[in-house]
Amino acid sequence: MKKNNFTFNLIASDTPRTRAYIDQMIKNELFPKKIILLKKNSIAEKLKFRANPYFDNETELVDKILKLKKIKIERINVNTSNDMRCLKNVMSSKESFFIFSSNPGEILRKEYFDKGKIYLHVHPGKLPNFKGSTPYYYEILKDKKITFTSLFMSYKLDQGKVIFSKSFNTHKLKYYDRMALDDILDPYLRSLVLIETLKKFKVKNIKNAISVKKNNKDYSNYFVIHPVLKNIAIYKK
Amino acid sequence: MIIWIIGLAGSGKTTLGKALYQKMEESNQKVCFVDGDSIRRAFNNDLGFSNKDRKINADRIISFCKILDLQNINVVVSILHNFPDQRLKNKSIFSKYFEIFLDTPRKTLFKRDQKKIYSRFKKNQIKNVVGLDIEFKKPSQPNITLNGNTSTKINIKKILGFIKDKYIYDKSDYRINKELYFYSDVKESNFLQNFYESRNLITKKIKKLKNRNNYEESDILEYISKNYKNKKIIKNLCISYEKNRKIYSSFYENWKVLKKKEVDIDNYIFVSYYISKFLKKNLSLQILNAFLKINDFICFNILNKKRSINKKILLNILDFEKSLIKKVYEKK
Repeated sequence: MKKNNFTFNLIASDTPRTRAYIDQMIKNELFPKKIILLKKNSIAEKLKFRANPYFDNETELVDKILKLKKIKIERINVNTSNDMRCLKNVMSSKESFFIFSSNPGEILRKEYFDKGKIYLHVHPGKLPNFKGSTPYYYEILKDKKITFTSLFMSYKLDQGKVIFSKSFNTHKLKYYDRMALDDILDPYLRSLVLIETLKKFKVKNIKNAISVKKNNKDYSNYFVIHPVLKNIAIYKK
Repeated sequence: MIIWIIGLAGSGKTTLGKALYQKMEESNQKVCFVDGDSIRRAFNNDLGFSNKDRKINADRIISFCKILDLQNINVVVSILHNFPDQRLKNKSIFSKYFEIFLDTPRKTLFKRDQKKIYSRFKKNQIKNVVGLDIEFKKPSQPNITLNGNTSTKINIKKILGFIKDKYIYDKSDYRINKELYFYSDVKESNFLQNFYESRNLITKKIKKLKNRNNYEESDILEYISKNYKNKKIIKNLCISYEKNRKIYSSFYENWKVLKKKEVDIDNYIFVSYYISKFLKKNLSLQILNAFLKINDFICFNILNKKRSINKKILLNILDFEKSLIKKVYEKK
């Protein structure tokens, strides 16, 4: 199989999601050239870093990367990718392909898309039906499954080109896995979908790898789920 | 959930921990009791009592707790823990972590001295005693500090009262606490029960308030009362609340804010009422989500203000909310 030498960077903050991504990247020897590391925002500060059987959630991200000696870290002292310092760093990078794993709740500002740079994101929901925040809980309530979708970001929320998606039936999940959806299962399943997507790019040119699926903008966004509905999604058989 | 009871030797932490464990087990909770000595024994007493060995033992207990916590088994830990950095880390690695400091006066400790630790130290027979030749680093931010001279029964009551799940979402102003619903903690199976209890308390309060039938008219009410059967309009109203955490009184015809004048709480009640009328005929998760948040906001306002309201409508809304949640839960 003909391999395509593509390079990519990672825009990240130290969250369980980024730790899961790095874990899978190490396992699959798919390393970013550099990490643009941002500070945590107030939502990310609340995240738990629980030990789990799926990925290394305990080692501080910086320690892990320094130990690897394969990835360059550029730390920027801002807690949002929409700060000009982050934008300038991205725009001055030679690489045009970035994986996005910054703080929760961020949408990239329009200027990021000016110079043909591409940003890959894994969304925790089936697109185009489940856009927005915490869509997997709504998907459990509606379809009894959760889907993770990789897409190229656009400046509009979850409206970029869809690359790949994978669904998991929730009735097979144990309660304690469902309870760990936010802090363990979500990052882990995203990391699996990310790696499958990157593997596609490894054998095909990025643009050829996209089987553009309709990402119809008619579907409206979901907003952070209310705790009562979240509880029902977790406990409903 | 990890309940981490810290106290010096003789403080009564093991007695308290065991009694708490028993009480939690009686209420059908999945719970396990761990104390420093039991883990030492499990590893064939391979550690001494130096600071280094104490830290290794604490590491082992933390690792054990991680396994149980991940399986949703609660753990009551009684431990003479003296490592502030580990205590700090515990807060971020467990699903829930409660630190309890059992502060027992020295006089009581020396008097109890069941293991003869203090008397043997005085006779120079042993060393490495925390609180004597090893400085005891008191917990700086425990969730509760209890007095070791107080009866175990009273201390347990205090702990159980503190760790009991509370429905917090109608007790905070969503307009100020913008991250209220992010990573909400709903893991306990009795969460819905707590929600109903909270709403019942508010219902009782509403019944005591003065009734009021008139309310401030606004363009939003005029608009919604004519259009509440229109899904697009109701949906846009809900999106507006989800995005801005407010409902405004003046809109363009396509529902964009024209004038940022927020409506009165009475108007929120009527908006919720018309949403409930819509939901009676069309169950939409997106609209239900906003409906619940608007009701939390109304309840927060009712709890914090003594004023007359349209009781009948509000009680109808909360009654309907309850039946709708039941319907969603039971829907296959």
